[in-house]
Amino acid sequence: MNKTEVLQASRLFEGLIPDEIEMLCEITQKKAFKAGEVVFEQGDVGDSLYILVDGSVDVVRKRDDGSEHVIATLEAPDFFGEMSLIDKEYRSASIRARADISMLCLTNENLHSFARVYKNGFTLVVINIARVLSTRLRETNEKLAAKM
Amino acid sequence: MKALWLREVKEVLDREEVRSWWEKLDALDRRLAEARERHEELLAQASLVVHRAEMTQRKAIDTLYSAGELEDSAAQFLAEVAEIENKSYEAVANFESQRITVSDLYSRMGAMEHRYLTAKAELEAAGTDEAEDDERRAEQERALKRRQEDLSIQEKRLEEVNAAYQRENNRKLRLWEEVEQMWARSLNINLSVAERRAKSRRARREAEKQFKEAEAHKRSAESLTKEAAEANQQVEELKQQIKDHHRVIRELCDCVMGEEFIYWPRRENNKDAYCVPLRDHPSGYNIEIYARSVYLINRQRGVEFIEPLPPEGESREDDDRLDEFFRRGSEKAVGED
Repeated sequence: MNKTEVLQASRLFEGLIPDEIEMLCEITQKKAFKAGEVVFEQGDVGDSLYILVDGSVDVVRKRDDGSEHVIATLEAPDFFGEMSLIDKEYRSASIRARADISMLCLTNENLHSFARVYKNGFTLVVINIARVLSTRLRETNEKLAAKM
Repeated sequence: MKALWLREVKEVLDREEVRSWWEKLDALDRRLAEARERHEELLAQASLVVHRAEMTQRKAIDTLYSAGELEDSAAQFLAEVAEIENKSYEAVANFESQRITVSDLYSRMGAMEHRYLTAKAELEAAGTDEAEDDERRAEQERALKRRQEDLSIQEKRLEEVNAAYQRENNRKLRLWEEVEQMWARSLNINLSVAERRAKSRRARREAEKQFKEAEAHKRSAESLTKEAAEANQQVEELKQQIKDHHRVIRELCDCVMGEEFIYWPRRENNKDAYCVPLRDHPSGYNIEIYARSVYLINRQRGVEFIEPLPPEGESREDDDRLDEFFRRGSEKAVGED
């Protein structure tokens, strides 16, 4: 896995300069999960964002009756867990590997290091997260409107 | 130990003796890893062989036990054969006695049959003469009637003797059948005795072989355990060598020596320190860290939170990416030239 290539390909780091990407390479950690393993559970306290390098994951939400419902499937180079970096709240859904996956993990604390060194780069990362959240919100709104 | 500038830390790490120190540490680490691997492998082999020795010994005991059982059952069979043969002598005697009885009956029956057939022929030949007087004729008729009655009695007796002969002859045949059955059973058991004795001998030989195998496994386990102890000794020696080697770097670099890192106070900021990992740690810390690379830590938190070095060189005051973003509008994404 070439970290630089992975990070450059991610929408999350669009617009970042090579020095910033280089630091991100240093502060992200490789993680691997086997098919069926859970990356995190709905309700866990989250402090990390994950960028998929290889494979795909299901975003699973539990209903009140305990049953599970797959609300989305993400594939490399998608990322997930970004909401916890913004609001530091509990995970809103579980993430389960569909096949063997490899990822890069960026913790809140490591992102803080990045922010202290590269203020503009950090702002761009936050803008990119906001853009993704905004896109997802628009899509949800459209779905709701279609149902009404 | 004095606080260093980053430049000075890099200079220290670039010194020939420091490079050599790390090379020696790498070599010691490799030897330690090999020694540990060998120790673990030998321990695993030793436990496996001990287990195998125990299994083989248990198997040998079981085999020996089964040999004993086979011998016992052969002896039991042999006793049974003797008993059957004794009974068969008795049965043969009974048969002989019955055979004599049947022969006797047969002789009697032959004699009676002969008498009966002679009397019957005589009776058929005899007629009443044409007697001149009535008295003589009546006398002749009475004699004839007596002879007929006598023949009838003879016939009845012959039938009784015949029936007795049939009954006793059947008994004689049954007695012989019993004798033959006893002999057949005796033969059968006798053959089994031989087979069981042979099996028992074979099982004993097998048990002896297994006991020898178990002993060989025990000797091999002892030898492996000894080798493992030697390998462990080597591991301990290498650990000590590494410990001693760690002390050298403290003197070479005038630094603080931890178990996994060396440290210098940071001259640029007295709240921070520079740290250099002695070995690679792709996981286990908040970032992936590599041996001989310099990282930054806060003095209070230490390596609980490690940061990469801040960039060197010119500041990016001319960075207009954000201005560009706000000028073009949020949907005109960043990254456009």
